Amino acid sequence: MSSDSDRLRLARLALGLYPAAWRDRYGDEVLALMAQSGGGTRAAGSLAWHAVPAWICPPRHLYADRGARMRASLSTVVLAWSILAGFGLAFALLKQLAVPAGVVVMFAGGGKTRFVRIAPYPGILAWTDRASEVALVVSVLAIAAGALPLWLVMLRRARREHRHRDVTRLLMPVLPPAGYLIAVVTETGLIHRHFGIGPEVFLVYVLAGFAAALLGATGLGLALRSMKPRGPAVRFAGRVALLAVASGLVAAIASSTAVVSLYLAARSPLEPVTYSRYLLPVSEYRQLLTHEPYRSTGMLIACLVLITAAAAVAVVSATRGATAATAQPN
Amino acid sequence: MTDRLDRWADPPLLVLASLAGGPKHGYAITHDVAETMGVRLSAGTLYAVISRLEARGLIEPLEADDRRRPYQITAAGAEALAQQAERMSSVIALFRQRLSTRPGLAQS
Repeated sequence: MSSDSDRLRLARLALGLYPAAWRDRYGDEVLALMAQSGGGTRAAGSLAWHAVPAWICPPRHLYADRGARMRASLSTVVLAWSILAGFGLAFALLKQLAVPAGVVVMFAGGGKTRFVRIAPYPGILAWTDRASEVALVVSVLAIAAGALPLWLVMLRRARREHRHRDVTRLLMPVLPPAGYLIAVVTETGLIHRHFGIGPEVFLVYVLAGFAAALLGATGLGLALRSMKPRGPAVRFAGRVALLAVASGLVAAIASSTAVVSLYLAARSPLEPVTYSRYLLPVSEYRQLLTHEPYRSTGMLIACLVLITAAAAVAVVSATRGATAATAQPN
Repeated sequence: MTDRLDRWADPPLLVLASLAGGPKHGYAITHDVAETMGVRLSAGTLYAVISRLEARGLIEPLEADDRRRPYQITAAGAEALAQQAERMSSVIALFRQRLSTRPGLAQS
């Protein structure tokens, strides 16, 4: 493969990060400029970086009518909200699968049987847990209530007009997330809580959850783009999206606070835990899922950056959509 | 901090200044800005600026030539550039006046 086609491939990948309306308007021009100026990896990186403001502050002239602005806002909100909800659910799942505080766990291996009592969680978790769970439930209910009328209108129209591809797209926000939730609930019911699960299995859970959520959000976004629905259902969804994002933001802040406090607790020096006459080394104690996921600084920073970016995009986009929905005549 | 003294080179201003010399497409703008003002604009920066300036009505697109679309400055864009030039002239006059009072610096 020539270096020219490599460069253009990189540029196309970077362009893929932009909103569809931006890509449609400027994509060809950008590729022509990249082809002519010979921009390399750095230029593609710069192009990718500028996709962030294109999402956060989309130029108004690209969304000439309010309907288009509301639909674009809804697609963005659902995508960013899915990322936020994904983190919230991953955190809830982690808590569910972690070994509970105060429980005594028995290890057998190396010809010895050892016991460990799980240390108590940081006190701040008492209110962050409750706040994040309540906010997450409110957010899920709001997004479901806001999207349901619009989804039904679009599904009815897609079936009536035999738009099979759009029917498939509209089923994507339902089937993959439902399948994932059923699988997780079934699986966690089979796991003995006191022994938790390994980090690899947990990673599979998380990645599968994000894949299901992103598939759902992409399906809805593509259907909105293809069917261009108008009317009260779109305006209602635009207004309710703001509530969903506001409660999602509360859940994100509470979960992030909890994760940071767990990170600090996991990194603070731990005393070896004794139970009966056995002594468990600190290194083995930390292998438990209870504290292990919170010990990585890089992972913590990456998660916080992603959560902050998703929250910023969701808030700005939901505000724009709600403003357009309120200003819409009729 | 001397490396931050080039902040006068605000990309929207450079693009407006380039288009004040006549309509240009993306590559011509980057080439002109690099040649005349010594600043290299990446494709990402350039089109972020173009989309903002177009949204504010300071530039407008012309008929596309193949995949390349030229842009021209609008009356509002020319006025905004003139105001900014006036502001910059006042600041530069102040710089020169103050520098002229320092011993050992040649006056222009």
